[in-house]
This record gives sequence, C-alpha cells and structure tokens, in this order.
Amino acid sequence: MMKKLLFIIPILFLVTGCYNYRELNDLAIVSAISIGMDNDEFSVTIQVVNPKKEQDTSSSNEPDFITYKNNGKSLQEVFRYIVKESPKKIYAAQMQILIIDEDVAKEKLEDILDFIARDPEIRNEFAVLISKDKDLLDVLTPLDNISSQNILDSLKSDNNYLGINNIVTFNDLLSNYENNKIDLALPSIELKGDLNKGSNEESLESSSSDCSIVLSTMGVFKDNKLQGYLTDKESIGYNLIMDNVTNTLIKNEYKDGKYIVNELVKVNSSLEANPKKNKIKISLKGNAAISEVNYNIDLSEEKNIKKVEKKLNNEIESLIKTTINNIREKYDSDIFGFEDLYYKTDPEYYKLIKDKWDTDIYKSIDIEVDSNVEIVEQGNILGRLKNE
Amino acid sequence: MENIKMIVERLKKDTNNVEDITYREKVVCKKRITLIYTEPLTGSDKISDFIVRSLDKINKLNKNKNLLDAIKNDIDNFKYKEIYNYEDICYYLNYGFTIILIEGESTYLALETKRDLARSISTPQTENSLRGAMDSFVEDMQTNLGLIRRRIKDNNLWIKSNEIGRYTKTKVNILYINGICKEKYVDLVDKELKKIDIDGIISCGTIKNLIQKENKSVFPTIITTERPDRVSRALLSGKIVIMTDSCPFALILPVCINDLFLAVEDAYSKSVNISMTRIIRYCAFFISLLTPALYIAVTTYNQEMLPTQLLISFASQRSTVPFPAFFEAIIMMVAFEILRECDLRLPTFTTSALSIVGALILGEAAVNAGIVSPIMIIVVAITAISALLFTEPEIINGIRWYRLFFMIGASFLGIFGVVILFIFFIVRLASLESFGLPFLYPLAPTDKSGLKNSFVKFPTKDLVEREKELSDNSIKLRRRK
Repeated sequence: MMKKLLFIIPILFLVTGCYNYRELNDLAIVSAISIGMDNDEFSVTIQVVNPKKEQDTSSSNEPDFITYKNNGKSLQEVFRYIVKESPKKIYAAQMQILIIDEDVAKEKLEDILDFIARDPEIRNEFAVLISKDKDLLDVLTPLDNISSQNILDSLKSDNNYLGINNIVTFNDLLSNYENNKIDLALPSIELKGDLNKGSNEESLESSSSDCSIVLSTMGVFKDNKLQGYLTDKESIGYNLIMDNVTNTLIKNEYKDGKYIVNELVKVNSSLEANPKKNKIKISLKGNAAISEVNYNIDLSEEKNIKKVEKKLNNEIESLIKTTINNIREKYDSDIFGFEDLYYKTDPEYYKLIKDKWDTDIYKSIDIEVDSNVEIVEQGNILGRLKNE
Repeated sequence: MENIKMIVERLKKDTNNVEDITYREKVVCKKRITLIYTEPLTGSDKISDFIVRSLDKINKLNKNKNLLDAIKNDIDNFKYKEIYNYEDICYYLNYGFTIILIEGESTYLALETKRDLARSISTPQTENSLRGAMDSFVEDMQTNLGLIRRRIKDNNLWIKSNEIGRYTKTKVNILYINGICKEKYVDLVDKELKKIDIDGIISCGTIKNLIQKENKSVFPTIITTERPDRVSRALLSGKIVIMTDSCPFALILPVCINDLFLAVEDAYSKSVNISMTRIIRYCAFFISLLTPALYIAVTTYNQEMLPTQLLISFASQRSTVPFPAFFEAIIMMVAFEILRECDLRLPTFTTSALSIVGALILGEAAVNAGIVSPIMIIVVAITAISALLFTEPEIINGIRWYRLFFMIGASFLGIFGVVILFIFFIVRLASLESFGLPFLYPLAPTDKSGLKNSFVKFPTKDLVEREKELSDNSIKLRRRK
C-alpha cells in the first residue's frame, strides 16, 4: 500500500500538467485599463509596465510603460485581440486603476462591469475613476514613472489630505451598483495641457510639464448613469457626510474678503434616520486646527477661539445642507444612500413609503446637522503677527 | 610447566607469531614465570618500574611462600585481575595488560600496564559557543567519563557497559541518572545495543545509525556532541547518553525537535533576550525551508499575491534570465551546496580562494551574464544563511531535502503545492518518534512544563518542573524558596 502511494504521489504531480503555470517573463503586467466609446464600439487602452526599463541602463530611452489600444464590440474580444500586438499575455491581476470614460459612464456602465467582475484573474481592489478626457493613459508622468501609479497616489493623497475625491474600489462600486437604494459617486480625472506634448518623452525633461493628469471632483450617477459633477465644496460636503474624510479644509468667511482657514483632522460623521418623521440627523465630531488667519482677531483669548469654533461649525452645517439640497435639486440622485438608511432603520415602514420615495419623500427629507468640531490647535503663533 | 608452554605455543600460533607481542621468561623463587604483553599498548617503563622490579624484590624476600600469593600481595602495580583461561588471556592482552603465567599454577594474573595513547583535552572544534565550558571530549573513554563525573558527583549517575564489535571489541557505555531518567528509555536503548553484531565500531556514528529506528526520516533523532557540559545538561534533564571508546563524540537521546533549537550559551543569557533568539531560530528554520519554494510559487503561479511594485521589480530582474524560475533556483542551490561541501573538506588556507570564486563568479558575474537574477541570489543567500544557523549538520542536510520537495511542489502547483507539502511535512514530523519520545514534544503532545523552555524561555525561576515525557514529574527540578 505504502509503495503504491509512493508511486502515485509523484505521478499526481506530473499529471496536473503545471496547472496555471506562467513564468513571470511571459506576462505583460497591466497597471491600468481605460475604457471608452468609439462609434458604438468599445475602445480600450491597456497600460502595460515595461520591466526592461528598470533593469538596465542601456534601455534608458525606452518608455516606462507601453499602451495598447484596440476597438471592438465586446470587451473580451477586445482584450484577447490585443495579443496580436503584444508579445506577452495580458495579465490584469495587478491592475491598479480602471478609468471609465465619460461617455461609457453615461450609457454603458452595466456592460463593462459584468466583464470585469466575471474575470477570476482580476483582483477587485483597484480604484475606479471617471475620465473627462480621452487617451489619458498616454501621458507621461514625472515623479512616479508609471502614470497609473501616479494617479493612484494622488488620489490617495487627495483622499487623505483634501477630501474632494474619495477612493472607490471596484468592490465598493459593485456593492453600490447592486444595491439600487444607493446611487453611485465616482472620483474623476481630467487632462491639463496638451496631450500631444504630454505623451512625448521630452515632456519629462522640463521641471514643469506641459501636460499632466489632475484630479477633478466627484461624479454623480442616477440609476447608474453619469449625470454630472459636483463642485469642490459639494465634494467636500459629500465626503464629510459619508465619513470618507480624514483631513480637509474649511474656510470661515468674514466681511471684506477676510478669512480664517481651518483644517479638520480626524472628523467622524454618523447618520441617524427617523423615517416616520422623515428626518435625518447628521452629527459630526472631531478636531480642527487653525492654519491660516487673515482676520483681525486675538486668538490668545479663549472666547475668541470659541467664536471661531462656533463659526466653523456653522460653516460646516451650512456646507452640508447646501450640498444635500443642491444634489437633490440638480441631479435628484441619492448618492448618500438615504433610502438604504431608511430601509435599514425601519424596514416595515419603508415598505409603505417605497413607491413614493422618488417622487415625494426624498425631496422633502428634513436634514438636521449637528456639527461638534473642536479647535484644538492654533499653530505656532497665538495671535496675529501684527496686532492692529 | 606443560601448561604454560602450551599456552604460549597456542598464543603464538593464533597470532601468527606477530612481532609486537613480547614473551619474557624469568625465574622468581626458583619458579619459572612468563610475562606476556603487547608492546604498542603497554608502557615499557611501567613494566620495568613496577612489575620487573617488584618481582626482583619478591625473589629476594619470599623464598618459601606461595609465589602467587606473594605476587598478589607485594606487586607494586595497582590494578590486577586473576584470570583462569586462555580466552581471558587474549582479551586482556588486547587491552594493554601484562599477563603473568606462573609455573604450576592454573591462575594467571593480568596487570594493567596500559600506555597513555590519548591526546590532551582541548577546546571544542565543531560546537563553538560564546560562553560555556571550553573542554571537549577526547578519544579516551576514561577521560571522557571523568569530564562528566566532574560535573555530576552523584551515585545515581549510572553506567551500563557493553562491548560491541567482533574485532574492535569497543566499549560502549550507556550513561543516565537513576531517578531522573525513565527506565523504559534505558531498557530500549540497552536492548538495541545488545542486538548489534558487527565486525567493528570505529566511531559513534555507526552506533547512531544502527540503533536509530527512524532511518527513513531526514531529521536527526539522536544528537551528536563533543561538549561535556551539553552532555551533563542532557543527563540532568533525563536523557540518555551513549559514549563510545576512542570516539570524541557522545550521543544524546531521545531527541525532540525543540532540542535542535537550543544552544549551550542559552543558559548564560537573560531569558527575555534568549527568547528573541529562539524565535529567530525558529523563523530561520522556516525561512530556510520555504523561501525558494515561495519565490518559485509567486513568480510562476501566484503573481497576484505580490504587491504591484514588488512584482514589477521581480519582473524587471527576471526579464533577462532565459531559464524558468525553478531551474534558476536549482542552479544556485546546487552551486551553493558544492561551495559548502568544499569549504568543509578543504584545509583552511584555501578557503579564501573559494570565497572569492563563490562571491565574485557565482554572485556578481552570474547576474551580469544574465544567467540568474539578483533576487535569486538574495533568495539563495537568505536560505543558506538561515540553514547555517544550526550546529547540527544533520538538520541542515534534513532541511535541504525538504527544501527541494517544496521547490518541486511549488513548481508544479504553486502556493497550493507548497501548502499540500507543508501538511505532509507536519504530518511526517508528528509521526516521528525518537525512542518512544514524540518528535514534536512538547508541542504535541502538549506539555506545559516543556513549553516553558521552547519557543520562548521563561525566567529560570519559573522552570520548576521537569519535562513530563522525559522524567518522573513527582520530583521537582528546582524548589521555590
């Protein structure tokens, strides 16, 4: 018996035929995919890392990445046909960002989600962005040579320090997509400068590049179709409500263009719904620091700080209220998931009002904001540099 | 008279009248006596100083007494034995005794006149330690026993003697402390030793291989050591030690996996610090076992497991290498093993040439030529260094086998293959026994008192109980005061 087993075990290894064996040299590592529309066909751009570039100095004038482009009716065909052009097999498991062009986001989002979600190879943890311009992936970027990495990094910094754009991974997107009580919101990017110059190696030789990729604001969807974009302030408001923000800036405006800029740190928000009264309470807690002062106020006095604090909280409250009202009016889109919140708080009652949600209830929700942010830091100088 | 002549004739015939057995006749008190001794084994000064001189003295003083009694009484030589037959004569001759045959007596005397053939005690060569005793065993059994007796001065240090080898007649002693060691281990070892019927035992290695039942396993179930302090510590923890005459190494058994991770200087360090070292040793064990396999698995099957930046870095390094990762790894592993083997065999003054070849040609040049990738060099280096952390060569060689298995598994099934083989590996270890002691003890079967001195070492104050499987737990190792 033992002897038989001894024979069988090595044979088992051999008959597997190296299941799924692929040498690293045979793979074209995809770092980003961008999907757009071109005359009713999908036009796909795949950004592939050029591994030779990092290895030896002799290939220093080679680009850091290569983009393959192909058009077709179905995505699977488009991807597979790229092999005609690429010497290596397309390997998308390490993909970092998916860029969806505006026109796809407006009409065909459903079609592309199926293909990507179905593919077992692709990990669903990449970030999804909307692009306002085409051929973004051709642009060469300075600090991080692979542009997708560059985009991802600036998206991360934005998410951490500015709060306008929020990282939405493909998993988040899928779960929001499948839940029809929440509308989608995705970050967006656009091109600054001249694309023809930007895709040229020379653009990297000057310190200020002629063309770069910059983050824009959050895009708003309604029924999985892109409706439009928020403003910077609305984006911050949205991310504050959704508890996506760790750091952001809020400006206290005073008369004659005077201002105090506050930096929010560690803000947490929580939503509480009362479906029967059709009311939602948003409470914010956290700390703030005063980071710039252009207003004649003596910050060494406690009561003045309290004043600033009160004004800051008012600013936040009005920011949140305007954000919600604007989105309701302009797009009629429930990107905050209020419907989902109602359903989760009181499923029984939700069933009764379900039909009236779009027409009636959503538009008339009473929003109450309770902002409770404390100023804990005033920076290294107490008052103004020069007291008038 | 006839008797003596017959014996001498028979001996001469049996030994083919070899030169180095000397026969000397002498008349003492009017009786003829014959001295027989093997020259290379005996000290001629001892014979002339003690035996011949005493015999002369006896000749002068005791004219009338019984000669045998007179010799027994008056001989200066300290150690003597009375023997009665021919076989014993041959036996003692080979041990460096001088045999005295007396005319008309059927009792013969064997007097110890052994020449000192052993070298002096020196520092340990193979098991260095930062701190710890600086003596090591030599080829002489008496000296070795002395080194142990010096440390354990108790009547309960018991020794069971065996003589193994048809021609070599090597003394093999089983040492244990009565009251700590469990009888069942002693009986088992004694039974195994008694079974051995072999032409000769030259080193303890032969005994080790003959009594070790688990020959199919690549991991050692017996530890070989040259340090008396290590042996004494093992005896105190209830282990058995086998010492072989004319071999400067002792065998310690039974052995569990944890013993392979302990070092002599552990006792000298603070337990907090040594705990960290222990953890590093265990990590090194697994690093050495798994690193090449995991590298092969992630670069040929499971690329999605790596962070993107790392994958790009791997891909760029591998882009010029024409071989599959498995083949690349095998080339480097074989090259390293050859280097290591050379290093062991070569005299010390040639090793610098070896290190230059190893470092420059195998490392630098192979990368520049595009035969191996730099990351592969790192993988092989970390693997090799981790394995060299163990002083016991058996475990380094054992790891080598399993490392190869893991690499093959990884090259066929990726991470999945490594996991399958790892389960097999653990099952294999768990099924091992060293003379009845489970190899994974104190992990499985779990023993709290043993675990206190395994992955981490508890403060010495807390090590109060002896290890259950090794000794009777009713007696405490140390009393709290």
